[in-house]
Amino acid sequence: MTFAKSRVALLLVAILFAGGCASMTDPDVRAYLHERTAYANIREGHLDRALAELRRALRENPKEPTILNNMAYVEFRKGHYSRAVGYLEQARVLRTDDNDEPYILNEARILIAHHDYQKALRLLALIEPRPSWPKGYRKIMAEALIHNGQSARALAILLGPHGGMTLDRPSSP
Amino acid sequence: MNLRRRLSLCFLLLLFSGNAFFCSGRVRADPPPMTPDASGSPYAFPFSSDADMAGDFKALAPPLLPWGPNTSGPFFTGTAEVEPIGSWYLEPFAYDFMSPGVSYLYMPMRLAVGLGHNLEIDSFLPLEQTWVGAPQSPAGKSASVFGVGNTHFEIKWQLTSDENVYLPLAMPAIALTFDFWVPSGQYQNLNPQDYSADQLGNGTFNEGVFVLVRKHVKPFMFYLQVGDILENPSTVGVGYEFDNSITHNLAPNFHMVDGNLLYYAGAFEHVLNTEWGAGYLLEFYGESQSGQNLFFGSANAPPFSFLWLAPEVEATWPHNKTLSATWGAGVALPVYQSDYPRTITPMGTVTLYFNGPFGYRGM
Repeated sequence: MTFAKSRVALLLVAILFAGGCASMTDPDVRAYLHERTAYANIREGHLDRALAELRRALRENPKEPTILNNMAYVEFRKGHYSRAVGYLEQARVLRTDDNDEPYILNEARILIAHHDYQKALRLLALIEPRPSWPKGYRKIMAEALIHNGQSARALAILLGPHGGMTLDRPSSP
Repeated sequence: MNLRRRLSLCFLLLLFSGNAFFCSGRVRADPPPMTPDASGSPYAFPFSSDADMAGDFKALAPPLLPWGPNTSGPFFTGTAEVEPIGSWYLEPFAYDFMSPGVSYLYMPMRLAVGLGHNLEIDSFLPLEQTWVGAPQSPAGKSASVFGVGNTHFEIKWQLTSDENVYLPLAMPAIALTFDFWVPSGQYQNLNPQDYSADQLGNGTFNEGVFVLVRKHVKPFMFYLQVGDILENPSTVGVGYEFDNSITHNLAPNFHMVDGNLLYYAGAFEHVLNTEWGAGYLLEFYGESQSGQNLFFGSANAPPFSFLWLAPEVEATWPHNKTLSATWGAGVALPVYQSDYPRTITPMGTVTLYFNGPFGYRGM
């Protein structure tokens, strides 16, 4: 009788533990572990390895924008401009609130690096009406405006107080 | 000089040149666009080139997955993480140590405050309700006494943090605690008709040192606490019940020496639902008094030891940025005891966390 009770208790513990192990191998956790390895590879300059890990991470968790951001980073460093922009646009879509700002800024950086100032300005204009601007926004916006020949607006962005001030959308060439 | 200041300077230069233009009757206009490499800039300072701008594009560290709110955690095992500075929590416990004919309801009220510098201070002020059943031979009445027990203070010093909350072999959080007990509970002038129910403390000043370890391996947490408690000698009277909860002193003004008390406990926690902090725990807890005191020689208080196993459940509600409340319940069951009563202990606790400005739990 006691033996039977022990077996039932052991079985119960095993089921609970197995349930835990199943949770431990959640896709989100597996994605995190791949992403973490990829981040270390990026820091060590192993871009191909990083990209392979990021692809695995993305398969596990296709909704994590930092994976897409880092894929964009790797592709950009490898010279694949349009792929990098594509990944960042995907990342932006996944974030519907103000958390899309890091991805907007990164995409704008890539666009400016490729002298596509008009597109960068259209993108940066998404942040302009928001109640607070992320760090680095003024600099990127001003640079894009100056390169686009709108230095007066650039100075207004750099020097003007934020809040209530809205600028016209950049003019088309 | 940062970019903004540089551009302010540039702006002043532009104003100056604009005034000059006004004087000459010319109209102000934007200068021509800058080239991608920032060469030929009309301004008095160099702008970033487009390539420099791209240098600010950095890879992002993967965000930690949320653990959800705090959980109640184990009853006998402490946690190795300290409270963030400015944060504090209030945690009333209730343990009903039930052995044949005796119910000892022990209700310590814990107050933990984060001090910063990896330090935390805790105080435990226990309320106690002791009930002893009526003896059959000679026949008597049951006794019930309510009062304050021994007060306990603790300084916790966190040495390491959990390096990776997903990997089992990463460095866990480790802390040392330094504990002190003050004999604020009654232990002298006991009424014989209360059968020691009116004894609310053991009458000793105690000092203890503990090592605490906690490791997250999502969605599990593992806890361990091992320590040694030194009990200072004390003078006790007739009817005094020793720490083994069985033997009573029969000599007046007895100079009692307790042996060092080994305390060990550990727990496995599985958080099933991070939104509600809901989960279960399996905890073990034991004490052993070997009969030797580190500083005061052989003990004349009787040695004892026991080991309990406790299944527990927990949930969290409500949970927000300034306050969270965790709830826990369980029962400690006897696995082994030597010169100690076979005790079953139903337990319950609620913890009210108040998050300070410098820390927010839940990771």
